[in-house]
Amino acid sequence: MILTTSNFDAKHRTSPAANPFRHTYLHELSHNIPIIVIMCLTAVCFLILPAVLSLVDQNLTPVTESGVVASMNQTADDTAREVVKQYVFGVRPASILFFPVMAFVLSLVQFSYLTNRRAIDVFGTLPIRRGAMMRAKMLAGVTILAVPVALSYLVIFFCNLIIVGFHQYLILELLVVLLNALVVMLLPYGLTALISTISGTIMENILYPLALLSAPVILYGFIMEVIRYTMFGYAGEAANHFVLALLSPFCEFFADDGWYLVNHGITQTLLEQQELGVGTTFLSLVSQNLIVMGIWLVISAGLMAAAVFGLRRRKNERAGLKGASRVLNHIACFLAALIGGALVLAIFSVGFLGTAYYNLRYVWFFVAILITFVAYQLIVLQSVKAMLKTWPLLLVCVVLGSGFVTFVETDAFGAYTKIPEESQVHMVSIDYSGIMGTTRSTETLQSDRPVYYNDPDLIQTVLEFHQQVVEDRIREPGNYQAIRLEYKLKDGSSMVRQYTADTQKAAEILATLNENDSFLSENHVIFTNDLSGYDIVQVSDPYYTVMNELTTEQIDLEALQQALQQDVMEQTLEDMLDPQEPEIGWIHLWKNEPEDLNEEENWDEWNMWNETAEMSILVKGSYQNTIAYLESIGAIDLMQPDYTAVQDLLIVSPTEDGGFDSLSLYGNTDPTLSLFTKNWLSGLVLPEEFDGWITETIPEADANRLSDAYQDPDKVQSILEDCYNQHGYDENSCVVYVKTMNATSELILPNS
Amino acid sequence: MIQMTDVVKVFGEYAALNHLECTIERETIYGLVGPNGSGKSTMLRLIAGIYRAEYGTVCIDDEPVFENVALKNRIFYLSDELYFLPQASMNSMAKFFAGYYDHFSYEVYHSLCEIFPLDPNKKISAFSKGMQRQAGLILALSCQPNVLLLDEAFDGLDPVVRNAVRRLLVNYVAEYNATVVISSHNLRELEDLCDHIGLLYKGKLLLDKDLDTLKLGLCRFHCGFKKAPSRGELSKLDLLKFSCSGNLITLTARGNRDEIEEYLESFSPMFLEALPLTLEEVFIQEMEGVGYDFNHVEF
Repeated sequence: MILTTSNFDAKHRTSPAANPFRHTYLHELSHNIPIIVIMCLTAVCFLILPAVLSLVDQNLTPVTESGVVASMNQTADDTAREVVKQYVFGVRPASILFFPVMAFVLSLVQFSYLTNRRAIDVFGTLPIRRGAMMRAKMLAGVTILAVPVALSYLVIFFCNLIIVGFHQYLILELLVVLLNALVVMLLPYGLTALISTISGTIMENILYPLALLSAPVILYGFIMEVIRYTMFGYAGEAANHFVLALLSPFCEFFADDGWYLVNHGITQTLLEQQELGVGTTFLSLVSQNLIVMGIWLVISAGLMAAAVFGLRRRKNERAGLKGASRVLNHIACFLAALIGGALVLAIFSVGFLGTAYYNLRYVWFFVAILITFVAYQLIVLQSVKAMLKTWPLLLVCVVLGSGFVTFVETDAFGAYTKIPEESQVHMVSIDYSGIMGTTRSTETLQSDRPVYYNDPDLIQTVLEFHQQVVEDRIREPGNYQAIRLEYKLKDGSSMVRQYTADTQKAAEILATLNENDSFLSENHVIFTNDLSGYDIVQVSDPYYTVMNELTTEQIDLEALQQALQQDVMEQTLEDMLDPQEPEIGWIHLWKNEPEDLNEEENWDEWNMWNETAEMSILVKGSYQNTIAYLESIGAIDLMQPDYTAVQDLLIVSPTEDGGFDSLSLYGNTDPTLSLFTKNWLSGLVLPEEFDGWITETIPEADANRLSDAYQDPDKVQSILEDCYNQHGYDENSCVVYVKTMNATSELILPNS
Repeated sequence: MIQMTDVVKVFGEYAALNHLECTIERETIYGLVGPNGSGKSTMLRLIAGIYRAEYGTVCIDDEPVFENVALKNRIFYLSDELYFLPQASMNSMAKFFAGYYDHFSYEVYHSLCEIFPLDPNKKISAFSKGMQRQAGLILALSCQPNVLLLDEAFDGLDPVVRNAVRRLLVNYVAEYNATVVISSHNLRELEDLCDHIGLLYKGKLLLDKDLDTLKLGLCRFHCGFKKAPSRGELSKLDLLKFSCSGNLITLTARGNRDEIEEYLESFSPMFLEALPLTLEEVFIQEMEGVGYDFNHVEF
């Protein structure tokens, strides 16, 4: 055995001169072949195939035999609709669900050597600068992640071109989609790389990126819940989509206005919106996405640059050292403590645990911060002594928590209790449904399309109400009957607030809106609905004993509407709450279902039709114009009650405490009415399933309060003549249930 | 020449190296010994450029090592805890190192693979501890470094291979003008290999001497007298250790052996015998001589 190296010399080197950067790059590629294979398979199976199959399915189905047969049976319109081809593009769910995970795993694998003492002895000795090694590894990582995804999107792009055809938006969509896909991969990749250069163990490399990616969103969510339920006057949403997207790019996709990017794609969404006549442009549709993703791309690039810097500064002895980075530990502990506190505060602020917890919510908030902080530090540091040394961090958490509590309790330092000057207000909107004159509520209309008023009287009323609720400053947990105010100020800004009317005074101010013409004309159903669009008209007495149909030749619905509008305008609040004239009867209106409207195919349109398809108007005794019109067409005679048609009549007296347990819950009327009129009955017809209730359940359950049941027409008449469909209710009132062959209705018998 | 000047390396609150001063000349095999936790591996990692000193400088030929690609191209550090890439064979590891070291020689690699009974295509993870150590040495030598840093290089090697590695290293230093720094707990391992020894203790270099000087500078005698002289009567000797049992004296003294022997002859001993000192004994004497308690130092 020759144990000498005398024959060896450097000149015998057989390999070319080393290029460490290139070698590291190539080595990383070859070393991560399993991940490359998984990436490619995923890209094909979950990105390309679903998109291409969807393209084929949506655009080429009619050419199949069954498709041809089916198309022969279709109308011309249907066929025309069938041949409209659809683009299938977008980011696709796989990109936001799977590839970020792969990026995270790849980064963990690539930089795991930094947490391995033995590996560091090898990599640390290699003749390559740390920064160069990090850059080469990250370049390889980006190649592994980006190339399969980019190629997949190119395939999808060309499939769209071939199957559906060229559209100018497609190229722009390709760029936007690539940007999105790149960002959702680079962020976890870069963050994990940076954490790897700071931390000491693989467990920390897993936990810290996950915590840092999710904690801001979770914390924001809890904070906004607390603000929503605690801050007096706050009218915003629990979480804002744009803010969420700024806290995490993944949130960009999961909101209603971001899902289009994942599901349909930009081009198809734009074409659909343009077909509906919505003037959306490419830039307006994706502007938020571009801003958010642009910011996150810069952040991701910054994280990767920081990772290079971090490795250059890293102390290799950190490898394998638990809790090597105090900064990371402090950040994680800080976030954990705040999330723990915010979670408890959010739960207690919602109010479902009761008033006792609600009142002590801030105490529990700080207790939760303390417990979370101590628990976290004990788990991580495993030493009480070391934990005690971190008291300054706890102090920071407590100070921040105190700041937040102060912010909420002072209503954003007084911003939410500030009332604008009347002279500053240009227009105002108020989310209040009013005391309704019919069975239909305009609540849906109101929330969908806020109405702005510039009527000075109305503005003054709203300001008075605003002033009153701020003076009352009552905020009960779990009170959802909030009234939303929005001021459009003359300086162009707007102010949105949300309050509950919890005092009689506030409720009385609010109720005066029912006498305001501007308010009525925008809210009352007799103004918002066009009666001439109805096909069937029936009239009945107030108790549904008779129902008579009028032909459209017999009744002029436009004239009827004008008369009703005039009466509603002339009606006073007093008339509404305590009518002196007996009610005349009901006018019922129906619309026929359009032939071309299908509930399954055109749900939105069908729903719009359905909302107004049926309507009932109570003709009160004070509606002189309406009564006069009905008399002129002979309809009043058709509205005379037939007391012999009453099958059952039941009088239920109030409960001992003066309360009232009605089935109808007073309809969708003003929730604040009970504050000054005890209660209010809005003239609801009970559903059919309550037919048995009137004769069986009530007598059994409430025998003490049951006055009697009546069938005698004379007695029935004498009782019903004193009843009202709509009337205030007090402790002397009774509820009267009337069952006829047409309906079972609930009436009020005041002062009986 | 490796120069460490006033080097401080701290791990948390623990100072592994405490103002260390050390110079290792070229073309030497430097043995680094010391108890556990004395800072041997830390010192080697600093020389290899893995760690950065908190204070002081670590230079090779007057150039700082840390992040110095040109210098690191000629340094190879073989750790006591070996690491190979997952699923790697010797061939794949050779390819890995060849990409980084300019002077990597496949010829050396293949020749060494023939010398050591290892299958270069087999996964290294399937090798025994000793075989993995051999694989590490083969790869290290294939990189043809000027400075070879070996941490517990002989750990796990059988006596035959150990002897072969010794010879290989000696030849390597001679042929390449290289410097080899070997750390070990075991002084006997280094005794026949090193020409220079450094003793690290609590982060400081307690002793840094040429082996020959070290051995020649100390001698031990066992002698018998009709009436044994007291320690005070032998005051001319630089005594490190003196024990007297009746008229029998055993002493260890620093200085020239012949001169000490001549001096002891002047006391007319009944017999005078020079005893050999092992390297371990030399170290113990030196450490006790400078006031360190041997009982608290483990080798």
